[in-house]
Amino acid sequence: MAIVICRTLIVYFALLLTMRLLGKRQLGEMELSEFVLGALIADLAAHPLQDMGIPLINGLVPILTLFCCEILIAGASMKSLRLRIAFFGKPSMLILHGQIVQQEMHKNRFTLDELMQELRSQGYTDISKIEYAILETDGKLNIIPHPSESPVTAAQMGLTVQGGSYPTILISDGRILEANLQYVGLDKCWLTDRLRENGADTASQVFLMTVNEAGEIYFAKKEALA
Amino acid sequence: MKRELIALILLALLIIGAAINLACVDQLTHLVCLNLNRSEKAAAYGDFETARKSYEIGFSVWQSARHYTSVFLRHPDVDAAADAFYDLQQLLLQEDSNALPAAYARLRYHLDVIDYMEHPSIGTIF
Repeated sequence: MAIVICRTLIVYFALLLTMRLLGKRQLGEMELSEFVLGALIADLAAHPLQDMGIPLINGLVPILTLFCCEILIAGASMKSLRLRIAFFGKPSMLILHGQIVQQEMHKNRFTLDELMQELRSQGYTDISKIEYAILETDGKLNIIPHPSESPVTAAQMGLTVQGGSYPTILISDGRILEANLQYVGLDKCWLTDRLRENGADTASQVFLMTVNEAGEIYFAKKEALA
Repeated sequence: MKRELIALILLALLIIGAAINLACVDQLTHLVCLNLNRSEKAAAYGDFETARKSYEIGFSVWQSARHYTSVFLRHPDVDAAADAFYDLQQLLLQEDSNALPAAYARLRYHLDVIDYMEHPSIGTIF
């Protein structure tokens, strides 16, 4: 058991270090420690299941050890910025004011082809029109276009627009969501009246009913199944 | 903070559990080896009756820890030790004094391996 714990800790930190040195490209929307945890747990859980000669506890102890490591590292990096940079790295600016930062590209082992592919996938073809391109710690490339290329906002045009309102689901596939009904400050009497207005006798005849902050209702009756 | 505390406690419990496991495996192998030594000495003097009795005590100690061994120890190691126990039992019944020393040594080796493999060291970790 002690060996299992020692081995797990060594492999975990070795993988963490290796992935940290490999760079952000390898991650793809996962934090470094999450990626390492995911890669390890899947394999650890499978071994005792496949090989009956390995006690199940040899699979469970490493998983529990990894869980503890992950929670402790996440907690410690919330408290210390230095530790956070050490474990997860920091964002890298790949494009700054329309210029490729070659040093950062080299540091992150990000090729021009990969950069162009990322830019194209986000709808940009001209690097000079990009103000910032930031490679985040989870491996995602965020692009902020030059102000002249940014979409015009209502505020820039001096327009007054109404605030958006979030629709709350009241009936989902025939079931009344009472918690949501309470949340929007409505009751069943109000709901029964709205059902009748829309030609339904009971909630079970309704597929979807939502109401937004302005009180606007979306109503979809259940279709008769053939 | 609560989650970190729970993780820390859990990690500490795992380490304590590992230490208890070490003590258990030490005690088990020590007790079995003690009886095997007595059995071997008796067999060397030709007292096979005492040798069999001491062997039986050692074997019953090993058998009584069956649940522990199957949960915490690698099954191939446990099976190898069990095979060595039965081989020794057969030789004791046959009173074959020529083959007995090797059988005792083989069983003691398997028990040593089990004990060694549970102790953290450079050799066992890597």
